[in-house]
Amino acid sequence: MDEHLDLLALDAVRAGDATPDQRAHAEQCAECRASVDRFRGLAATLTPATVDVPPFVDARIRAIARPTRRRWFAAAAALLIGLGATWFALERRPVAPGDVDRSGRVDIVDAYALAVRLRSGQQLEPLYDLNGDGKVDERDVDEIARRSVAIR
Amino acid sequence: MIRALMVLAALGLVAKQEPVRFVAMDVYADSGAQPLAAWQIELQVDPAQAKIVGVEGPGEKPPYYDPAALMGGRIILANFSTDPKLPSGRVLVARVHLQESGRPDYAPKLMIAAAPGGAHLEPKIDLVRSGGK
Repeated sequence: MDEHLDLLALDAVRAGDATPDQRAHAEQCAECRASVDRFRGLAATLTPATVDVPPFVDARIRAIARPTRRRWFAAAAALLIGLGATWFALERRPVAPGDVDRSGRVDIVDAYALAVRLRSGQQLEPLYDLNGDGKVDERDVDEIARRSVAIR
Repeated sequence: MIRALMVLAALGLVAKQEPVRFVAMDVYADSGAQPLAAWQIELQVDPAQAKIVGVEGPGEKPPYYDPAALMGGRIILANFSTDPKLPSGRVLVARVHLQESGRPDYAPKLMIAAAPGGAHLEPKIDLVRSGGK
């Protein structure tokens, strides 16, 4: 290799990434070697010096960083607890008499739902005995339908 | 002179009043391709213009309504069917009889409707004077 190394090759030699030819040329060529040395000086100038952080500063930084994770965990836990409590409250809420589909109001779909259950022969809770005659039957379906159309 | 003016004014008022007439309005629900298993609507009209005087259904089972709504301007109509073969598309669901004394605007409003199984539906509700289509 007769020609001098270009800038990229010089930097490769400095960084230890050069090819064997480039390395051999840099060792033999005083001009290129000098350029590599200048590159090393420049790189050393540009590389930020290592700063020794005092242990108490390091401890404070870690102390500040840690609660952030804790806050995320706390928020996630609070959200889960909130969702659980909402679900529990909804499951346990008192159902209005006749609100078969638990929609929060009594309407014709409740009458329909009860009629379907009666038709399928399902075991029905005494809760649906709206007319209080001791059994759940078509009369209770009619009672729900009547309540759903009542003018208040 | 004043008496003559009062007579003329009274005649004018009488002339402006619409004659009282009885009409029937057919209530249709159009649930498209979905069969309609349950429906509930509210019909409202200015009671000074019309009064609801009766309800009948197209089939054997008339719609549910509160008799207290008769002679008023607001009624809730509802019905359901557990029949496995239900019609879809635009179906006649009720006929409402009214006593009109003005030019009322009828405002039917869907309250709830369901397909077989209870799935929510949004059928279009429209009213047609009986005899029309």
